[in-house]
Amino acid sequence: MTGKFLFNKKMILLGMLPGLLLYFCFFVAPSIGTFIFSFTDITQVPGKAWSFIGLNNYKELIFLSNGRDFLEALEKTFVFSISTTIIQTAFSLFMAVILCRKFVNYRNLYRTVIFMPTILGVTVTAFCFQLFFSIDGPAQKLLNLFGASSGFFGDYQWAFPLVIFCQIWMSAGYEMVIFIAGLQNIPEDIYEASNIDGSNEWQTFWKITLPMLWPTVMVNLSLCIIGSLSAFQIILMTTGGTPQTRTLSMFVYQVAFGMGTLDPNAGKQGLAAAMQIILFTFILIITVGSRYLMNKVNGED
Amino acid sequence: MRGTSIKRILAAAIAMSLVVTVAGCGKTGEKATASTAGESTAATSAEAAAKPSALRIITWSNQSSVDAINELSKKYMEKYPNVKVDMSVVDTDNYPTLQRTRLQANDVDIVTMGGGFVGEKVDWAPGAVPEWQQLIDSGVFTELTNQPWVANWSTGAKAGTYKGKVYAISTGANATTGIFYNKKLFDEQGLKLPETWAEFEQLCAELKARNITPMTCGGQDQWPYQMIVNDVMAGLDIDYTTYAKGLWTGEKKFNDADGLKVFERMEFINNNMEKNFMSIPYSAVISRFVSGKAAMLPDGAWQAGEITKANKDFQFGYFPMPGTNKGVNFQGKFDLFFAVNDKSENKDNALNLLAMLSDKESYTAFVNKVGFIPTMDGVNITNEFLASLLPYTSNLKNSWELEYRIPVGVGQYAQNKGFNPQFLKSAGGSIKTIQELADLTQKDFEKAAAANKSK
Repeated sequence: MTGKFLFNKKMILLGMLPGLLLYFCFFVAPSIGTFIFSFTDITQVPGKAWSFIGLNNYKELIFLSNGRDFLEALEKTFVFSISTTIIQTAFSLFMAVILCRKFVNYRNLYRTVIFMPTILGVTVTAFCFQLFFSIDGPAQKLLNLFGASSGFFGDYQWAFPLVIFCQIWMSAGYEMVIFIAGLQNIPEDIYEASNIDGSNEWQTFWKITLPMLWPTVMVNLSLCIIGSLSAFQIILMTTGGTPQTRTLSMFVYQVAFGMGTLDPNAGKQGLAAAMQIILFTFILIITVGSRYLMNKVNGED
Repeated sequence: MRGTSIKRILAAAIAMSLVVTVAGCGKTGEKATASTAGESTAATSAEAAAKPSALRIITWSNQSSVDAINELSKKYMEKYPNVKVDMSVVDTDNYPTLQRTRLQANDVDIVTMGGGFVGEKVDWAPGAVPEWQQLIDSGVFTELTNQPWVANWSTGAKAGTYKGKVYAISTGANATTGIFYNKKLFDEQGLKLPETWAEFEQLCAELKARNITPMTCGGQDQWPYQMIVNDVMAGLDIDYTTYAKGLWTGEKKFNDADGLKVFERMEFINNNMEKNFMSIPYSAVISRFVSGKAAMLPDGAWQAGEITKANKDFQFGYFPMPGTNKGVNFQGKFDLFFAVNDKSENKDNALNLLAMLSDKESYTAFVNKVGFIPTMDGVNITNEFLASLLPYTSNLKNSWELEYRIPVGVGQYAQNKGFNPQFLKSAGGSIKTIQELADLTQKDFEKAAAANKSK
């Protein structure tokens, strides 16, 4: 009787209500708010009156003085996203395939080690890398052995590749786990049949593993693209958002929250909202486009 | 069936925990101030202090300032035992974010500020409204003009005055255009302090010849390095208001002779810094200086306390960055302003703290602890470093950064103090020549200034 009362349709909907409320409060409402604020001159200055200014924020980004910085940030965003997606997905797929092989001993240990960075969190990861790549750190000592040195996160040339490396190091384990789950769903008898037919490892991977794993690959690629296009935390924690590492998400954060700069654009949240909407539009186009292409590759309608 | 029941029970438990979580959300500090909610703002200072209440202060992480405020807070809580002083401290880079968010949330009573009320909006620089001016115009800070203790301050109240009204008190001024030097090393090497730029170049060359790194700097945090632009400008004998205005009217340019001189000197400084200095965090720079990694450290005078803390036996001095001619003096800014949040429920507590600080005895202890130049007359200075600095800071001029009017939306090359030599290859950037950087800076400034004027 109690079971029927608690688990009927209405009670289930009621049980979902807190989750839906949280989702609305922390995702839907802020998203709508961001869209509305992108048409205003709202700033972080408490008590300052704000008003609707139409498309002025968008015009300022594209046509006015900071257009170049905006476009450079956009370019860096694409470079960050493409590099991270390709390298991270390839590496995690490779590791997943290797660590599903029975001949590899201590597979679980290796899986744990590769997954560990995912649970460390951005702050710890950034801290570790800053120590490793500090001016007197192990990486510097290694370079000194060869008579070289580098500013690492402070170097114009190396800061961005390093940040990409940190992002991959932090996230590859998560993708690997998803791939492992996908690989374990492929029936063993298909591999046995291919062995009998005389296919080698390479053929087995391309003709059997990858096609059967394709839905998992699509999920991982989508997650990676969306995550990398909007990632800024690792950049904030390692470099503070220097121009050589400033992606559009980082730029949005700096404009929205000032970051200690004397730039009068600091704290202009209406402008930051406009930038975020533009970034969201790009993410949407790229995600939908990549899903369409992936489905086409998979041969689906 | 049993498994299904367990799943249902688990789902129900998770749903209930979410309800509890959402119900628990709320602004912190509401409980602490609940007892004062609804009180009349006309309550006397004594009545306000008698009821249990809080006093929330925010500041940035300069150890001497934090220590001084902590001591003042202890004295305050002895006098007002029902008031709990709660100070939040973050690093300098994140302080503006903390300030804005705490004011937005009305979760602060006293706000400390570093810059003061300079660089106000002027007709010749349309659009560039500094944040302090926006805060005052929005009614964020309490007016302090008629408080009885304001008259105790000489320059401290004047520095916090806007349109004839006092909105904040500066508790000290700071020299920012000086260079700390390792006294023992200089004596051992028989080196003299330079009085001109040419002598400074020679000094750096001599240090390098003896395999001693001339300077170090916390470049990773950006602002400690960019602050050195103020030092260089101080040595060029430029009238800042004329120069800042000239940039807007076109009479002065970042790529004219004066502008190129600034970039040239900053490139010299880049070439005489520790290798890869742009990867040194500000928090590590004192230990590097004290451990002898470099002979000199261009930084603000506030670091004197930090140096002593790092090594109390370390002998150091501080001299102004030399200029073209002899006789360049320190420049700097009024600092560590205390302002009261006008919407605060604990305004009386905040005003009581300022009243206590305005008492000469309290202020003397405070300013000797913090190591800043006093902004109240007749204070007995016991801080050795501060006493050595006073003869050179009697008429402390505002540094360049306080006069530069940044156009709204300006590109990265003309932000901050206008001159951004971190983009030069000598600082690990991508731009090879100072002419190229100067041209880019001028282009960014012109484009933004034109856009500001057209609005």
